Amino acid sequence: MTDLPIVGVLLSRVRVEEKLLLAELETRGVEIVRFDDRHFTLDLSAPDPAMVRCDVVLERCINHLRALYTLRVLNDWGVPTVNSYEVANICGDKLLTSTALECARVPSPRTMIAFTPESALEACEELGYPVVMKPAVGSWGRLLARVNDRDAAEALLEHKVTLGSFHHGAFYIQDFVRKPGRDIRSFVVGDKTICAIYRDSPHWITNTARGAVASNCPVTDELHELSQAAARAVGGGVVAIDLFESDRGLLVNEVNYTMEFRNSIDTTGVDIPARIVDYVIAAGQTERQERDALITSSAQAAADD
Amino acid sequence: MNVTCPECGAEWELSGVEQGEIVTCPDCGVDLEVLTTNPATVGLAPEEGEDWGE
Repeated sequence: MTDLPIVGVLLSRVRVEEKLLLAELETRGVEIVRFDDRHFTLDLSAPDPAMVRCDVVLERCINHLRALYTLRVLNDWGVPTVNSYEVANICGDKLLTSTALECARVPSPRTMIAFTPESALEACEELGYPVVMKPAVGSWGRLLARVNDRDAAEALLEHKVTLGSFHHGAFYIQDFVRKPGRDIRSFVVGDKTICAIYRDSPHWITNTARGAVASNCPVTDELHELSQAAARAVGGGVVAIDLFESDRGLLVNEVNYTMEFRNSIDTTGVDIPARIVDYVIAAGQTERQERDALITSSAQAAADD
Repeated sequence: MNVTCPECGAEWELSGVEQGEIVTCPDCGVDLEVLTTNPATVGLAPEEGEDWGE
């Protein structure tokens, strides 16, 4: 029996990141089993033999909902995943992330939640303009709005109520942080902050998906400690932390659980897919050893009887 | 491996791709998904969903 784990990869659309991860897994010689979320079904009462055979499953879905539900089922079947359902659930929802950061006393922008346009307006006034409104579930900087005054807030809220889907019914409102034309993204793998980038943009939205330019950001002790604290607050694993430099010091804005890193490998000189694969293989090996130990002790107990 | 764009009918050679990868038609610029690699076939890429992303 080989010590190398069987690694499942949960995905659909193969981005640059998935291609690099699959190539890295191949070079390690592990058995890779791909699960395309568009094709499989999950019978909750009959664990899928191909899935439960995996020592670990690396989640790389592009759809949050598919990732979330599949991770939940896999974890309920006893299959370890990178990341876990709990991490995906918290990171996939900005409100859950913000409250997890707050509970862990990780500095973050002041955030309020409201459920009606009227109370949302009160929250805007309480925070003071400008504020930022975001859908609690969403990515790549989509539908973020900087709200400069009450007129804009009223218009935006009316649009959300009239045009938005159900999850625009909860209004996530945040202090607008005046940052120096850039933010920071740090990459955490287990207990290491493996690298970080600055994302520079003349626009207030600094996602690379929206055209921000990446450059290397040194991982200082402060950045490492804050990144670790943020990762721990959401449950740990392999996550990317978005941070703002502010007059209050570094603030953690978001934590991403299926991180994109194509613009950060050459920029930082760190082989990010290799570090992720190290972590995944170690998780799979731990699972395999625990399972083998359980089988051995059960067999021993049976023999003793 | 030659593939044909389902949008504009352009034909071009595709190599070094994974199943599920997104490629761009060199003629019309539409996003295409690699459906199979042997033989190579492509289809229109799915529309971006509201819950897509990191």
